[in-house]
Amino acid sequence: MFDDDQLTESPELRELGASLNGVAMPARPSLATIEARGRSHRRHRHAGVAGLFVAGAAAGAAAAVALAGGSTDERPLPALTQARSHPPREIRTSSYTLVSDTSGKVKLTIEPGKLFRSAELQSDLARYGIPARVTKGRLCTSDPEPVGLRKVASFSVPRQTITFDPSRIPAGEELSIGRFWLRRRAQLVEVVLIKTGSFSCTSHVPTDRPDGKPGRAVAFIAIPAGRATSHG
Amino acid sequence: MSRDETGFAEFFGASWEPCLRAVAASTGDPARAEDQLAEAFARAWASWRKVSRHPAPRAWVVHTALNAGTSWWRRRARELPLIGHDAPAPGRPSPALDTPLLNAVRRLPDRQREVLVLRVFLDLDIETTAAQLAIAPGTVRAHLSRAVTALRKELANHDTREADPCSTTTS
Repeated sequence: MFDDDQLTESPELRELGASLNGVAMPARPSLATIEARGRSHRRHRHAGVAGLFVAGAAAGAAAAVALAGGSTDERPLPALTQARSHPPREIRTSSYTLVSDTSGKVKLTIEPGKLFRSAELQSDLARYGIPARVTKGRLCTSDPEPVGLRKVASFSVPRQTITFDPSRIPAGEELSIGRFWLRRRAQLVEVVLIKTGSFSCTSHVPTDRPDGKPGRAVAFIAIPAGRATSHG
Repeated sequence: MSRDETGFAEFFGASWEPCLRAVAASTGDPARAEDQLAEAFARAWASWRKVSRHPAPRAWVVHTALNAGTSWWRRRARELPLIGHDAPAPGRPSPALDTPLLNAVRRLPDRQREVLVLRVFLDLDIETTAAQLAIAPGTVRAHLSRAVTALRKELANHDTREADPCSTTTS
């Protein structure tokens, strides 16, 4: 066992302290980026508190109605109005499910036997603050393609899930999600980052491998034979 | 800008670099360290009133970032990487951080490694480290002592191998 001086003055610790000198480190992100991400944490924390408050307020309102013999004020409670402005924790449709977690991430699970409606998914993603252009049989891309999709979306192919982190989508960029119907009863969902207002869309079916462009991701969703149901 | 916001902005500006070094030394991957640290600073922003009163806010951030890393590894085991893109190869330190000393640091048990990086990169004393990790100062000394001993041994072994590359025989 060393004494305190030996510990703090040990040559190994001095060498360790100097070991990162000259190593290129990632630049500090902007304060605005950190604040945006922090706000997402705060929103989720407050949403939980608001939920509790709404439950308490509803119970209180019911008690008041009973005491007053059924007479009630029809104006909505402020807390209830506020709670409605938050996206729901879960949106479930016949072809996909969206679930948000406490960190602000949103998980999209695609049902294997169903083709989702592009407009519906785009609208539901927007409710979680995820700017996305969802297209059927087309994919929109920007040239050059923004990098950093890895920070925004991650895929779990066996579970047919894509997890989005809306706080990591840079300002001026959005997601492009293309859904393609392939041979052998499979659908392909491709996700890329694009610049808002600067992109073009093509109906060219993507290759079954990423084409090497940085930031591009691709996921296949298998559809069992005979069970596929197509929506718009 | 409120006093709270100004306080966080100053803290963020002054603390990013030392905290990044501490986390990068632990993870071996500057890009992942950046991700984890950004997440930790975002949480610090969201709870700034509490964090600003912490005896060592930088230690709070590094501890949070390293915990975020644990969650990352658990999640990573279930999710596929985005194939062939800007993701670094998992489990391999970046070349600049692939040194005998830093590799030895990453082989330390979690708690020893954390005590070590808090001491070295954030210059925390024994008592503050103990308060941050909610353990006794004597336990911090023990972790630090074991960590230094382990580093010394690893480096001595490495030096021996460098000096005599044929010393290892095969049967």
